[in-house]
Amino acid sequence: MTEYNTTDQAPGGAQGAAGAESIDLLIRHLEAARRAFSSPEETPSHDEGELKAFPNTICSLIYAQPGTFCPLLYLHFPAVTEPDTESA
Amino acid sequence: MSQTGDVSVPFGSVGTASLAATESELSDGTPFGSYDHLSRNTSAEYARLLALVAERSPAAETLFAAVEGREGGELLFQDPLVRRTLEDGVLTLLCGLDAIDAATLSEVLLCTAAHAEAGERSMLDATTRCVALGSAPGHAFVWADDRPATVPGRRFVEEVLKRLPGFGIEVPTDEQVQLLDQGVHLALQITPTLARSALSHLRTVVVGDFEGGGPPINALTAPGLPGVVFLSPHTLSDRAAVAETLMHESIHLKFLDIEYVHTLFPVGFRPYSSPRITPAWHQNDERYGGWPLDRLLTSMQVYLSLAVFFGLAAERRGDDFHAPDDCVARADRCTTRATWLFTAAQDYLDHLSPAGREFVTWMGGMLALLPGT
Repeated sequence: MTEYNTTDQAPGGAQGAAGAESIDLLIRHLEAARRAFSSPEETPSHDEGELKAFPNTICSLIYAQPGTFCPLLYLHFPAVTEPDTESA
Repeated sequence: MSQTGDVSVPFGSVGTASLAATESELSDGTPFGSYDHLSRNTSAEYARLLALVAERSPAAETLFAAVEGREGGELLFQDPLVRRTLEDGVLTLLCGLDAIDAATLSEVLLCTAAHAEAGERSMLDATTRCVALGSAPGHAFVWADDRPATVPGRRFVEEVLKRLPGFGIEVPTDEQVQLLDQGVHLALQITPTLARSALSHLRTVVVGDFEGGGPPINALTAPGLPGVVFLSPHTLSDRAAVAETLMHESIHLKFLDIEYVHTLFPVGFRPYSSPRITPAWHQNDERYGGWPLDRLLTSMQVYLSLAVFFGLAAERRGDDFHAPDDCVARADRCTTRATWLFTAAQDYLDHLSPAGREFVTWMGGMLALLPGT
């Protein structure tokens, strides 16, 4: 199986030393936090109607198991009557 | 909940063999399954990040000197707060993004250096109130600090709340901690290899719920907080549920770690601008659809892993787990969904990196082995 050790690529320079892809991943994660932190109106709500209005929020970056209230959090209402393997 | 009475063998010997083969590949396959491979390379990645920060931060230089050549020093790079802090250091000092202030960066790194010099394997649990998860394969613990007095402790809480505004962190009871440990133990009993591989990615369990009422969450994992799982207290009802939940979230943690080692998406990929996929089982309710590609891939891995988890659980007897026929039903559903996601992914391969396409191919190879596919 091919191994893609991207962290060993792109030598030289600040981004090169850690890999441009690596830096981009860090930025992606930081952006996710900032979306949640700086935009309270986009943060998880308990009102599903409101949630539908914010399809591109931090919530969509969060993985979660079923049983929750927020579809953008990858969450579902508690699975009471069916096997609780509803995915994130 | 074990079941009494006769239960037919769900998959037969061929199915059992294929489940065992899939478990082995999911757990130990290289480059995407093996925890040793992933942890070694994530540690190497954070060592590189530390070297970058050390060029501009005396505290980072101190930490670099403390871990360099020290046996076990790389284990500190698995600590969730150390990872978060090194990422913020790079983003601030090298990318010009305001991710952490200089004083906090310095204090957390110096604290980490002190623990490295003391020969300790982690930092966060040594500076805050935490309870060890003794059954966990790695160095895992439950957060139990409602008022952290240290800079690292406060920093951890801040980072949690940045990503989960309104989340109320709770101090778990002794009984809840015990149940968590029992859940880990049960998962390891059911699928020793798969559970060990998955749960090794788990470092910190945080118990809590979003405040303000409303239906509670079960559990979640947040990119940017590697190794950390959030569990609602209501999830801590019985050890079978805890075992499944911890497996589920730990597989998400594994996926997050995979991304640190193998770039699955091209530079510039962002979930909010990704193509969206609505799984067949959510077609009737758009609120649950619209998954970006990273969710598609991580859910595929979760479903495939849980198909193996439940499939092997069905073959076992004597565990305090779901009844075998229940396990078969769960395994079947997980297999169906993993297969659906794999098929859907074929339409978006151009949006993945070469490693991302290899990841999908890897998933497909294992799916083909499973009973019922």
